[in-house]
Amino acid sequence: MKRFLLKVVILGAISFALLLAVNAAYVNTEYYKNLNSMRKFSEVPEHIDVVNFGASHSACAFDWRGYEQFDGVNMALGSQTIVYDEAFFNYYFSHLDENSTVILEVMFKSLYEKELEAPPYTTEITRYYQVLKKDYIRHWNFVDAVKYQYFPVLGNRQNAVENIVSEWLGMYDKESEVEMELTGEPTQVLTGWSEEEMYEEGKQRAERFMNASGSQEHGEEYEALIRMIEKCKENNIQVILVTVPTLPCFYTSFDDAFMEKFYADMEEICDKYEVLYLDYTGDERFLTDYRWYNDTDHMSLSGRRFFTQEFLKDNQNILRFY
Amino acid sequence: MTITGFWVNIKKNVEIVNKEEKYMLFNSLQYAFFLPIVFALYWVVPHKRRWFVILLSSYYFYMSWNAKYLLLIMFITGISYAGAILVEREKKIAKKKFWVGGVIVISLALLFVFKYFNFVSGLIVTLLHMASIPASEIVLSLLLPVGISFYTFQAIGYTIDVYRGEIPAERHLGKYAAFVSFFPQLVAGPIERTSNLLPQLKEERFFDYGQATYGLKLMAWGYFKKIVIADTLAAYVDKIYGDMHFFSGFARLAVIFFFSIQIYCDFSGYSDIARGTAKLFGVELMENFKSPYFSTSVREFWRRWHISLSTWFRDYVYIPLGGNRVSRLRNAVNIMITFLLSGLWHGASLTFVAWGGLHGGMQVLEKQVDARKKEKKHKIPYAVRVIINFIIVSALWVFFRAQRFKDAAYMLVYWYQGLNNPVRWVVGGFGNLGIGAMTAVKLLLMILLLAVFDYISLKKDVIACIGKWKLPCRWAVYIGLIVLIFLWAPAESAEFIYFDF
Repeated sequence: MKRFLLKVVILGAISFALLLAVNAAYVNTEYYKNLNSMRKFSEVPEHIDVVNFGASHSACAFDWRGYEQFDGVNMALGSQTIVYDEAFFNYYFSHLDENSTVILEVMFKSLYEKELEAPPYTTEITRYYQVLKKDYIRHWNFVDAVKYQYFPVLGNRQNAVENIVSEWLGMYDKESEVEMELTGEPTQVLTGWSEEEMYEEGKQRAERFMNASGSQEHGEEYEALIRMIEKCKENNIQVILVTVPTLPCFYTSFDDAFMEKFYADMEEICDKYEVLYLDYTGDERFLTDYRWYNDTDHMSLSGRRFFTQEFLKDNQNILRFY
Repeated sequence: MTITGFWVNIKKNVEIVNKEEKYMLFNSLQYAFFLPIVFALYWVVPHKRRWFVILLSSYYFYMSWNAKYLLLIMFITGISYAGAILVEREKKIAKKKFWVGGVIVISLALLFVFKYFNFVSGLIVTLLHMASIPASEIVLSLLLPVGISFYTFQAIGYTIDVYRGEIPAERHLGKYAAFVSFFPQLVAGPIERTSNLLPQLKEERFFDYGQATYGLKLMAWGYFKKIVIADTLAAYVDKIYGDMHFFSGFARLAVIFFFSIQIYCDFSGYSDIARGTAKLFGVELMENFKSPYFSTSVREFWRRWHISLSTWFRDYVYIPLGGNRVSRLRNAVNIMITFLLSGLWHGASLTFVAWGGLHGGMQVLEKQVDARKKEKKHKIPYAVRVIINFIIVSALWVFFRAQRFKDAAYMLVYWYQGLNNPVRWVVGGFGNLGIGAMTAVKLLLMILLLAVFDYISLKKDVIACIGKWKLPCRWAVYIGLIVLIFLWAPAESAEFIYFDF
């Protein structure tokens, strides 16, 4: 029996050591660093001048790169809820001070979403183990922590070895988003789409947003937003609420009653907490060329460069850091 | 409600109900803690108390799925235990028959209620509707107890064996309960024979280093088959069967073969883990699979596939029906009855019955062809016969996997779409499935490894052979296998297919 147990322990230890080595190789790959768009969180400056939170709309609308006079961080992620905006906000709070500006992006469904309560959790949840600590993750559990935090090679194992090998062989495609030079006339239809397809897509997306919002009740997302506003106010940090530009085929597809409720909620927040709300919905400057959009409601790289530039220009007298 | 609609609902209900419950699977973290604890307890306590460790751990294992249904397994244990004693006591054949019949009827009635009631109820209502007779369906909202078909059959087999005088009735209720609920094989077999398992649980076992290490190696290979191969292929299979019209002809064809490999690796993987686990406790369970895809006929396939079930049906259904010592026609009927029942055993759906019936039909056909050929040797090379048989078996698996007959027909008929441009058919099909070059190489390596292992297993015990290699070589294999299990497996593992039966 002793011999058996000893051999099992030795075999287990060697296998574990090998897994550790593979895990170490994996977390150092460019693939892992870029996984789930989390690289930006490993490059957060000591002092943040401006930070935008939000979901994919915000992630696609702001681009702080190339501005030497300030340090901006885009902490928005695809499908990120306000609850996780708050998690990042709290996690990086020590990087903010009185000279900082916090941009809280609010899309039409943001206030009314519901958090996933039971496993299995999707990538939209498990990705936070790559950056955030236990206390910042709702329903943190040990198995997921092992898989996505301590041994990410296990959480993403089917692609891990493949990517380690690819990078060793120099086959890794480092090409990120490439800015296309916008030549020719501005268009009023999305690149590669027909007008009918574009309107149909906009309608479907709006329907999905309305379905995800249920009866537009205030829940934990709303409360998280209020907590962030209050914390900023308490610490004299500038806070601005923003709804970023989208195309008419998207925002006109929402029911009137839905939009009225959304804007009534925003007005109430602004009045009650004395916070600035900038709504770029329908701003004609961002509707002159549809090549600024990847789809009905997400801006392209050229679109986000233009929007960020216009946002700074519009608010240069307001933004503390600028 | 249409017939097809009914089948879909039944299958979906079973799936939903089972997925809502999280229980201790062999591939779960809970089991990684549970097994070493039970192993330690088993070898620490004196021999006389070991049955208690087995019983307690088996009941805990089952309760991790659903505590209430432990009563069911206890009830089956109780009636078969008491029934067998009564059978043994009786001198008159008629009374013996009464008691053994009673145990069988009660056990099968329970199985019927939990597994087949909704199916039969729906079927009757559909038939009445077709005859324009108004009727409303009675649906029992019962959770299908995991492994019910396995332990019920094991208990029935025990009672029949006592009736036949092949084994004495067990007087120790605790030890008998440990036999019925022995956790390694409780929920998906092998369906053990009393003469093999019960004496092992009663006799004093001594720790055997060779047996225990063999058990661990067998478990590792089982895990590789289940977690790496079956679960990887499951992703593609589920995708295509979920929306087959959306995918290309080649993608559908590839998935027909993927499912053959998936179900084999899933089930034989489970059996290997079960056998390996049992070896850790000094218990030998029967071999359930012997390289079935290297069979040259459907008949041979059934001698190599799910052997514990095939032999159960052979001994308790086929032979009592008259077996092959009857006329050719009657023999064909016996085969068909056996395989239709085997199909029904797998699930309450006509697609399962059809799958069983087709396997029975193929065997009847093979018997007729063989009878005409008599002593003539096969002119077709072995490899070609294996491939042809694999194609036949794979095609029949479509009925097993598809939710409805029309889905099965669609899968089997529309695989040729786009074949006029073969290169595009293949390359586009892989793309359609989401299989890139690296993934294709990985899949090929996995399947090749499986094929080589199974081919060598036809003549040799691969694990024993590797065990004779020099230490660095064999340890490299073991460590390599463990690391591959962790690195090649999908992040989320699926439950075992046969748990649903």
